[in-house]
Amino acid sequence: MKKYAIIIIILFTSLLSAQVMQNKEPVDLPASGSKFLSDQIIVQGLYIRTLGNFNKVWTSGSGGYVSYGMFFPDHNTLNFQIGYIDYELQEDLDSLNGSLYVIPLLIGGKYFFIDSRFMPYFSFMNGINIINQTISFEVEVDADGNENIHIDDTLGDETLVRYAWQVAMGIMINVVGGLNLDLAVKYNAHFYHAEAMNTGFEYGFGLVWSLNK
Amino acid sequence: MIINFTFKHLYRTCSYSYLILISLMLTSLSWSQTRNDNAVEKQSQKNSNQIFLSLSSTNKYSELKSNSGISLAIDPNNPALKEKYFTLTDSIDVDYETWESKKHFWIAASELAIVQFIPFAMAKWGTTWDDPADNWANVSLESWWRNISYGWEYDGDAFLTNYFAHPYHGNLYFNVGRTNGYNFWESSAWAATGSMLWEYFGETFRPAINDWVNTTINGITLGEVLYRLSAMLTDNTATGTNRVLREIGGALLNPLRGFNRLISGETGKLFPNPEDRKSKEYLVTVNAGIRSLDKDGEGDNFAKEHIEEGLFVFDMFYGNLFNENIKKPFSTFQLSLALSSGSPSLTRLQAYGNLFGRYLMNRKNMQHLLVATLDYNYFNNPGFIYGGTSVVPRLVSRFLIGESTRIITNVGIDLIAMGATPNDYFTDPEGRNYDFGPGIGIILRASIQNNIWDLVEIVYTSKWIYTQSEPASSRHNIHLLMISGQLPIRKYFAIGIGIGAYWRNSYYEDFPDVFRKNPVFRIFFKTALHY
Repeated sequence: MKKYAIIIIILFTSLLSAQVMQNKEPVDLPASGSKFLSDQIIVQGLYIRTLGNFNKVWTSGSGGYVSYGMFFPDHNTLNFQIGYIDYELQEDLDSLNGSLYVIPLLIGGKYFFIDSRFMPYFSFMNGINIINQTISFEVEVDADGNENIHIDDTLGDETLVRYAWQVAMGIMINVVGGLNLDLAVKYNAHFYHAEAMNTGFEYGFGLVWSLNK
Repeated sequence: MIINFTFKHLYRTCSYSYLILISLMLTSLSWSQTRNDNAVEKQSQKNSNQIFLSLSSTNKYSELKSNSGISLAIDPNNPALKEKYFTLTDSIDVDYETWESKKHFWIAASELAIVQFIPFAMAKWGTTWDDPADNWANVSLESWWRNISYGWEYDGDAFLTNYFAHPYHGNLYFNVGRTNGYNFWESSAWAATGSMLWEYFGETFRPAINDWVNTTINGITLGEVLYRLSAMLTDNTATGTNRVLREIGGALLNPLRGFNRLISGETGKLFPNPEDRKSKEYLVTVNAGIRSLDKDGEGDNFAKEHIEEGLFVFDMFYGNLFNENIKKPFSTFQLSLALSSGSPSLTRLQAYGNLFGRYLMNRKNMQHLLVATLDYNYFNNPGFIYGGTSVVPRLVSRFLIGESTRIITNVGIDLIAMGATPNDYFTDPEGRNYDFGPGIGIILRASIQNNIWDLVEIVYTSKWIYTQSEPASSRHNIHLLMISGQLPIRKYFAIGIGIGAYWRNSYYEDFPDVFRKNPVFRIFFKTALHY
């Protein structure tokens, strides 16, 4: 319940502040006279398949992002992104009843290859992940190179702050007016522990409101 | 991570590349020179007085040399003289669209592939490995998937590799874009992408985050500095030996630019120089002298523990913060290089340039400006090791106190993306004996300047590095204080003295803390080339 409350608060405050910004600021047309690109508000749902040692404990994740993209001519946006991601335990570890959720605070950019109704893009985001977990694990590599995973389910609530890094390829499709669909495949290489980076492929689907369009 | 790919390999790679490049360039130049000479000869045969050209048309007066060796100075804008004499401006193609005026994506991508393939091929096929399993270039689909699955780590390479070889490679990746029509920011993406591709797919090892940051960010800094220096050195309107030497010099500074000038035919073509080829002003100084420093940092017996070594320092100040458009990246920068007679030879390399900035106050006798700079730091001497990759917001002020005397102050917050400083208890099997981590610090500098000399200068910096590489149970507080003075003897010659100290306080969770202090003393002669 707490998680859903956090998601709703994040979504609501972000959208509200964006709305306030819209009301306050005079309407500025993009300097370059771009056809479809402009400042953007993006709301996106996501699903993650994890990789590597992280996957041996947490198999998948789901959540959402809200981001604001500031347009720079000719094909770029500077993006500020906040979100919430909830990870799922491996099935055979379900009995531990553990939880791990992450609030990513990311900044980065998108490069749109073309400014048309179909706009493929590349993006790079980085920043910090605020991680909350009730179980922890470490990977020990023995002399033969074997990796042993040790799970600690006695630590209670623990909060970590770690560097987060993400690249993505995606496409934004203009539907009507300023409304766009956004599809993206992302690769995450977030820091967690030295031998267990939080890596994974992330699939995102969202809506984009192009401001001033 | 480039294991065993040390400076020696880098040097060999560069030597081969330069050799090929210079051979191609000399051939091309001699060919184009022959072509130019023929053209000039044909043209001059039409002129009764048989006069040949020797200097660039950017000079106000072009110098004409006759066969008898007599030199004349004429104004090329004088129509009467233009009619009478053939001048160089006649053969300059003023309508020429330069190579860098358009983006060449596929050529840039091919060059990136070549730049990465050379060290890869040398390791895979050109190196004898005692244990073939150590060959990091034996990449496969399996190693690629493992790298993608397991993600980042911190590597164990030597300091020189991580803080010199990687930034140098980053400079090449950056210039793949920069010399193919991409601007500063777009070329930064080339540096980041090139480094990422190398880390994930060029080696069998897991990608190293320290390499990615150092190669990208320090590569951008070095790349833009070398791009501008190369552009400054080459002169599109020069001819003859002057042109040949300038093209070779420019290509040595920036091989990618040299190569692209070669394939585009610009190496031997006469066309106008770009408007921003040179900054409005620049200063080059060199100083040489003796440095004495405490090598073990115990700090209690300097007389016995110090070592003395010869030190040669080259400084280049490109542009002037107070006179340039500081919103344009690297419209001003400083490059500083110090070579020592001891070991290691490359004892210091620093570069920083403005990213963007704005004036807060701009009065005749007092100016204040805010500027953010991109900083690359490499310190490696027997008493002190520090590597840094930072963005530094600075408040810089200038107070005029005389006709040519001023006080300059500089206060900065050092936002360190990746810092490195020694760990007293740890040595990685691959040789790393220092920690990596982000950090924060302050930079304070004040100087009294007269013309080109720093009569008195005080520099103090302090940084905290929070270790992220394994073992990640430490943090370091490092300081540098240096007070120096210069006494001008002649217009371009001064003697100087400097005294200061490096401190390092390292705090360990599992071991006793360590405090080191390395006093340092310098005496030197300094000369300057001022334009």
